[in-house]
Amino acid sequence: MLMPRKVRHRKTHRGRTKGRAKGGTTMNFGDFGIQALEPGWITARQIEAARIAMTRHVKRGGKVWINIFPDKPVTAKPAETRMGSGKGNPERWVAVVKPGRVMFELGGVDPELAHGALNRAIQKLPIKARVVSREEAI
Amino acid sequence: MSSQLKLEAETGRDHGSRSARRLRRDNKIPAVLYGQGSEPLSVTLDRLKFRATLNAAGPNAVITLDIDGTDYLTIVKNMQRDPIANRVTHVDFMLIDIDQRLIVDVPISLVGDAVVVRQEGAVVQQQMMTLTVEAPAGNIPQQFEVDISEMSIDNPVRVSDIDFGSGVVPQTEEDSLIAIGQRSRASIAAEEEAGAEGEEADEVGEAADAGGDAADSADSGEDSGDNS
Repeated sequence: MLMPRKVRHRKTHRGRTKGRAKGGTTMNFGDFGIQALEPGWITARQIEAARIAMTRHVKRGGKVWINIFPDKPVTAKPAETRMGSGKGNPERWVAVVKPGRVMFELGGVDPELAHGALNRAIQKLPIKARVVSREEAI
Repeated sequence: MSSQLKLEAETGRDHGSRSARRLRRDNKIPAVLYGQGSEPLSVTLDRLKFRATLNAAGPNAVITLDIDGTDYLTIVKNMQRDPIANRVTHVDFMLIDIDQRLIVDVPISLVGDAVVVRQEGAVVQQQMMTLTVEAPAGNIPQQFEVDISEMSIDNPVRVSDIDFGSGVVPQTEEDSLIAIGQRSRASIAAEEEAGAEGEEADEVGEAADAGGDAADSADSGEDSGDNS
């Protein structure tokens, strides 16, 4: 799973995910991609699940690009623990995504197969997303 | 001189985000016209007409902008879009002369089936989506079509393979890559595994042969012993 090799601070504030994506809203590598329509946190597990769903559907050929990286630590307190005594331990890593962000790209496959693979990958994500292609009308 | 593509635009729009938002709500696009030392002129376009024009002629088309009865020869310099709705939110038009040489980005389209690349277990990866060229305003190519049917992993498509029209000069190096055949890590791993299995099988086969030879020699020895 994706995670940073080292970080300056082990625990971070949650932050706010308002507004739209500032960059990364265009396709740069593949012919088809998944664009976020809602803000949210995508965990490293979800990214991996989406990647596996895509590569298994495509079977052979094709190339997948992951444009997001889970660099935000999320902490959690152990079960059945009383409140207090400080912030919990880092449990997982997430990528903060805002609407408009192209999260995954896929290239080198037929449009029909690409749509099938990307729709399967969207099912693994916790936010609304859609399939976008490079050649869209103005 | 004017181009065949004509688009009407209105002047007298208010500046600011609120008025621009109101225009967009009414299916209009705020735009600006500048260049050749003139003062920037804020104009308004009809979204549907603009879309039809650009869909027909491509992003680098020379457009005659009819502003309050006066014709201006222009080119679309920049276009802002809403990333979610994928709608054009603002357009920059630049005034040009038809004889002027311009530097523009022309889209590259791959045509044909890369059979050799597929046979090699690789996929075609387009490295360059647009090519920056210098061309006369009246002769800007709308797109470059590159045939990839001959390409292979060792023989990628380069800028030098494109047939530029007369007066069109590329602004990038001629050996820059446009499309390459790239093998995925999975296919490389699969091949390595197959190779390793093949070697193991050969080793087993050789060992079996060696065993067989030994057995043969033992048999012959026995035979020889018997014979003696």
